[in-house]
Formats: sequence, structure tokens, C-alpha cells
Amino acid sequence: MEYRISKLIYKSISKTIIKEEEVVLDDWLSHAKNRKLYEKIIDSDYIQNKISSYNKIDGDRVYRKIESQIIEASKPRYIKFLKYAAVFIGMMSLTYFYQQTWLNGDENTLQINDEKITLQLDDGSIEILNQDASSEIIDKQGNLLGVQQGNKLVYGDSNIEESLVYNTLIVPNGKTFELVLSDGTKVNLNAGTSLKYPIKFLKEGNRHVFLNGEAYFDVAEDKKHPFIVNANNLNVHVVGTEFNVTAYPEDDTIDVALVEGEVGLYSGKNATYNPINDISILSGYKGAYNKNSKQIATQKVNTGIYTAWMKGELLYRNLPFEKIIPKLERHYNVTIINTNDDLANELFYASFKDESIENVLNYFSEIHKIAYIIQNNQIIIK
Amino acid sequence: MQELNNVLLRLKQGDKEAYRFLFDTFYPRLYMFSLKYVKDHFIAEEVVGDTFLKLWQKRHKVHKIENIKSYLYKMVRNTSYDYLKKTDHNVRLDVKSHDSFTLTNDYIIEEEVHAILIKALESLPPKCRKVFSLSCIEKLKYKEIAEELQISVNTVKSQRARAIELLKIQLKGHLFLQVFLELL
Repeated sequence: MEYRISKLIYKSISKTIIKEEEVVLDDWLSHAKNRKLYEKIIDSDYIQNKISSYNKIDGDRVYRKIESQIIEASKPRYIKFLKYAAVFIGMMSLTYFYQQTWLNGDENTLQINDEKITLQLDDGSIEILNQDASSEIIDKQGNLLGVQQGNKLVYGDSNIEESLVYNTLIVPNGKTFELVLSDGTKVNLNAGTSLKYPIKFLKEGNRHVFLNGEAYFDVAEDKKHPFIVNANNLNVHVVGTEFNVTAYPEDDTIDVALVEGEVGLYSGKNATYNPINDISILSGYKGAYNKNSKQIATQKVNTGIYTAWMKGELLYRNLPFEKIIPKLERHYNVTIINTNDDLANELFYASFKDESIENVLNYFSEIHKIAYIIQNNQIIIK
Repeated sequence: MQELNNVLLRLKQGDKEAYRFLFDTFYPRLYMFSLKYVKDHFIAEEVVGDTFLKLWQKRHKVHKIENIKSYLYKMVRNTSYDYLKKTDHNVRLDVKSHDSFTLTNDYIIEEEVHAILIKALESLPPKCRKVFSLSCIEKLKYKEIAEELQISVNTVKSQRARAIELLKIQLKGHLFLQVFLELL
């Protein structure tokens, strides 16, 4: 009963109540005590207080504490099991050692190749950016466009451009890169990502860039020239703020997670932003554009999840394994072939920080009792 | 993750995500609920934490729980009482007395309404949320809202209508509210 009444009270506040329900609620309200409770619950100051209390709640911390207790509780049995397991492991490693020595072991060790970060200039020519060195980016006329140092490329602001001249930065799998555009906007690019941008924004009009993959933008404020990120069919309209855009091909949605400020979201390749009708999101929120339904949904999120990649962390929240695979491939620059259909749709909630691909795979195999082998430099999951 | 029954089934199988989902869904309201009894943030945190720990330990029997919400509220209330008894020997609480029963029910109604409302507010686009909040919670007139937000009265009306429409769609069983409103 109390849940039914709660629902009716919520509906009466939100004006979503229907006549039949109103009758039930009115009947309940006819008791003075209930009326008093109702008045208290719907009081706006009381609600505002509750909202601010909610904002102070740190559930993550409490959950972590519980999690450690859960792990503690399950430890003793684990140790017991390990004692027995040790013998087997000893035998297994002997076999493995034997194989390693007597057979050609090369094909079951993983070779991770080092891919280069490249920059495509306006004329289509490609430059390789060497992360262990610095270089100057110079156009055909000999103008200095920008300077690359290690993992960072910074564009200058001195060139006078009459028309838009684009560069495209391509970050391969296994790498991340930092870019500063001519207006001072900072962009962190995740693995397997490309960004097309003008070497210099024009005096008139919008600052428009094009993203494939994932990037974190810290946009330099300029109210006169809105900054627009185009990712697939979604546009993010900004004047100056910090946010993360995830637009990888395997995901059903394009996610925009806002760390600071406010952005507008609208879809369509050639559409323009309409502040009245288009959706806008505030900091602490995520806007998700669904590629299939073409709808944008917003929800409150912990934005830390969307920016963890910049600290080298991998966080998967309720993600099916088949969606995790391309992300692992990208992060580690490996090839993973999953032959386990049951596993493909299994949802995972996992966090990794600076782990080797082997450790990540071991985690999944422990949780799910899967086996994997390495063959011809590919990881095959059984 | 939409249906509570499915979540409970997965919890029974020891699925950490399902557990985390239940935690995220119910922690804030249970914490506020416990706070009403123990009047101390740290204790309330601990009480609800313990409750969830017990839920994990008893996950194999979770199918026997008739109504997970009631179960959690009851656990939190009893744990809160235990704490009160421990700290204040003068407190003689008859848990079964009629008064404490209605009080508990009142607390539950309050926390449920607020949990649903806050979740619903969070789901609205910011502009809509502001208008809806000023109109339906603060009970301001259209004209006052228009002045406060520097928008036209027509925009106030249309944003308010849009907010209510969005909330109605949610109530139809779409999106998150399902778990929030589900009555087992």
C-alpha cells in the first residue's frame, strides 16, 4: 500500500495523475494524519533540502567498502583451494616450460606492434609524428602551422587564413595523443580516433571540427564563435566548456558526457543549433544519441567514468563482452577473436588500471571460466 | 537491467552488477530513511552498508524475498534500532507497537516519493527541469517563472508541457522508472 500511495503522490506532484487515481489519493488524504504527511512531503523547501542531501551522498565510497568486505569474506576458502591448486600449477608450469623449450614457442606469445601517429595535411600528404622527438608542422608555403613535442601537438595562432584549411590527426590503436588547436582549445584523443580540424579558425562563423572515435575537449571560451564537434550524425554545440565525446563504431549510442558548463546537442549533418528546441545538457550529465532511433536521451552520470581513459584506466559499466572486445583491441592494439557465444552477451562491470592485456584476459577467464590461446599473434577466446 | 525480477535472479547467481544496480538504486533513499532514526550521517551510512552486505551474503535465498523494497526498508529499520538500543540504554523501543509501525510507513512513503521525484527530475533536459521545478514544486505562476528565467510565458507553458509529457512516457514503463515504481 505505501508504495502505491507513494506513486500516487509523485504523480500528483508531477501532474501525471489520472482521474481514477485522484479518487484513490483523495480518499487517502481524507484522513487528517495523511494530509499532514502529504503537505510535508510536497513542501518545496523540504524537497530542495532533500535534493541537496542527495547530492552529498557518496554511494561509491560506501559501495567500495562493502566490496572490500565481500572480498575479505571470500578469501579464506580461496587460500585453501590455492594450496591444492599449487601442486597442479607446478605440474602445469613444468609442461609449459617443456613446451616452451622444445617446441617453437614464438607463435603463442603476443607481439604488440607499435603503430605511428600520423597527420594528414590539407593536400593529402601524410606526416608521421614520432613520439620520442619533436617536429615542426609546416605547410607547402613554408608557414609554420604548429609544433609537435612528444605526445602533444600545438597549433599557432599567427597565420592569417582566408579560407578553411584542414588537417586530420589520426591516433592509432594502443596510443593516446594531445592536441591544442589554434584558438587554444585542448583536445585529448583516445586510441583509434581521428579528428579533422581547421589549422586556423576564421574570423567569422563557427569553429567546426569532425571526430571519429573518442576525445575529451576543453574548449576555449568564445561566445561569438560557437565550437561545434561533429561526430557521426551528432553535433555538440559549445561556447566554452569541458566534455567527453565517445563515438566508436561498435557502440549503439554516441555519448557526450559533460564535466563542466553546458552544451547543446542536435543531430543531422547539415543542421544548425536551435537553442529553443534542441536538447542541452549541464555538467554531470550525459547526452546519448541513439544511432538507430536517432533520439537523444539525457541522464545524470558520474563523469569520471567517461574521462578515466585519460588516466589510462579502462572502465566497463554493464557492457556486453562483444562490445568490450573492440575497446580492448583498440587500447592494447591486439586482435581478439571470440568463439564463445555465451560470453558475447554477458554483461560486465569491470575496472582496470594500467594492466597488461594478459592480466585483463585472466580477469575475464577467472570470472567466467573461459580459456584463451594466443595463435598467430591473435587472442582466441574459447 | 530493466526488470527487478531479472535483477534479483541475477543477484542470486552472484552477479556483482545486479548487486551494484540494486545498491545504486536503493542506497540514497535507504540512507535518508536510516538517518531519520539514527540522526547521524556516519551511522546511517554504516547501517545501510551492513544491510547491503547482508543482502549479498543471503543472495542465495533472495528468491524467497517477497518484496525486495520492503525487505530492505525493514532491514534498515531494524539495524537502526539495534544501533539506538546499543548507544542509549534509556531507549525502550517497542518495534511492534502501532505508533512505530505508522511512523515507519510514513517515512517510507516520504522517501519513496522523493526518490522517484529526484530521479524523474534528473531525467529531464535542463531547461524543462527548471520550468517544471518552478511550476510543479515551487508552485510559481507562469508569469513569475517567465520573469525569473527571462523567457516568454509561452515558452514556460511549452517547456512545462514537454516535461510532463516526458514524465508520462516514463510512467508508461519506459526507461528507468520501471524499477523505481515496480510493485512486486
